[in-house]
Amino acid sequence: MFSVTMSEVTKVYPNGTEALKALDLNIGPGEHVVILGHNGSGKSTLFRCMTDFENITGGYLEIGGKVPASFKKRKERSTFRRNIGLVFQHYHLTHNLSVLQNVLFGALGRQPFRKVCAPIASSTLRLEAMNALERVGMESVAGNGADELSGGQKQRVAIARMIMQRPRMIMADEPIASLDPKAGKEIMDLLVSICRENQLTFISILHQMDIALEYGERIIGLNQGEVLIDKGVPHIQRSELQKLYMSPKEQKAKWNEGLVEYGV
Amino acid sequence: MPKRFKLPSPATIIITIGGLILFILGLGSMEISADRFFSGIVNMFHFIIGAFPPDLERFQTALVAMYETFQIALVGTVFGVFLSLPIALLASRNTTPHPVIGYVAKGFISLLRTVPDLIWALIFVISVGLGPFPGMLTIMMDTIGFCGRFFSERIEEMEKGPIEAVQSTGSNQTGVIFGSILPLGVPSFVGTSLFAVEKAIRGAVVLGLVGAGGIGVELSVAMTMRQFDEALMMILLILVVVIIVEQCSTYIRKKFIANA
Repeated sequence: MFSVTMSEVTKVYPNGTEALKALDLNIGPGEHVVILGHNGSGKSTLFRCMTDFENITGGYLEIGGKVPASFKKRKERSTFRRNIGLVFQHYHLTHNLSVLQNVLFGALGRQPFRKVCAPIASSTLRLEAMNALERVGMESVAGNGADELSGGQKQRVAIARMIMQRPRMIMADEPIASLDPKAGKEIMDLLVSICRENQLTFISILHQMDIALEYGERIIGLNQGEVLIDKGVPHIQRSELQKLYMSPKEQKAKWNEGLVEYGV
Repeated sequence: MPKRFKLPSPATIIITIGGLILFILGLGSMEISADRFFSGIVNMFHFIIGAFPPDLERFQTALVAMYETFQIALVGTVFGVFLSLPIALLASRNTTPHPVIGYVAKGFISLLRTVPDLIWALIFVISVGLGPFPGMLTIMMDTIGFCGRFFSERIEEMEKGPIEAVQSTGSNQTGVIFGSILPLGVPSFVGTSLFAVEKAIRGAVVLGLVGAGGIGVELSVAMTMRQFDEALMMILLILVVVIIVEQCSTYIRKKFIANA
């Protein structure tokens, strides 16, 4: 099981935008953490830094005992990536190819391309891919084109691809933001149960407070690149979360309102 | 209130005057005269009178030569397309192994584009001799210049998501190229390649004029021998074949891209 250690992590983009300001975070093995925050709060930057698609510009970041900033060889980077299963908002399947082929691509971290090519892949690997599809309830469309599916179905296939990767930790970046509420809940149920079965650490970035309270064990609220809230779900107040989505001006107004209430 | 007229900048004035001078000098060199214009119309009339009705006597020879032109275009394009893919991958910003290699590959593609195909044909006729082979090589060079550029542009403008998704599985670069970049580009690659075939057919006709095989040779001979009726038959044949190829290509493109 993977854990995450961050101390004073900063990310400044070349244009000067300070996306993460000295973040200190520890996520233990097997935890189910939800990261909340409004647009521009730094949650996507955090996701990209944790998955090694962006370099941090300061501080220390360690995931599963590995420090992405220290990678020198391609091999180190690909081994690191292979261990972290990603789920994206827009699924990111390869168009023009079949569902089965997309799932087989999940094995690219441990097999060369010619071995995961659907027509010539070994029966063992094809069977593993079919099992992954069965796990997400999509085995009946294995031969269909990836473009023929609905949003929810595409996300299931993307999850099957991730299962194929045999990850040690799952990170999801707004996995249900493009789905209707029913499909969204189904996807969250699926992700949480996969993490429970395999005892995986699960970090998801979400937009919806209700979903966060329902599926998270711990909620981290980001605001302008800083941690504003970090609490276990049982101890959290809905009003605290609402503050996350307020602009600084609104926050000040709310504060003044409070002063009036107290008769100051 | 702004002035009614604003004087353009000195640079604009100089460029405009310079351009005008070049144009007037050029016009002077064209030896345009009403006399030649008139006799030209008369000669054109001779051609038209001589060309009708088109002479079908050597139709079979022309057909064989046209088929050869088609073959030159097809084989040259296929080779060109297959060579364009690796060159485009080397040239594109997001797939090149090293920026320097990227610049070299881009430079190579633009070199192929800048040299006109007739010059390639002349070079190849000198180096490999007359016939369809130098024609095919010329079309191949032309196609690499054309497809190399468009393939590489398509690869550079690709959405990052699906590529990152494959990278995130821990795949090596080969897996990323075959698992996301090439499949994502296929509809566009097919479209570009079909345009390349159309372009190649028109190009291959002209190549015959410098001895690089196909119907161009026959047409050139017929014209110099003033056998205008035979020439017209060939021109019509070229027209028909070009139109057929264009129609087929449009049909395939529509069908393929509609399914993509």
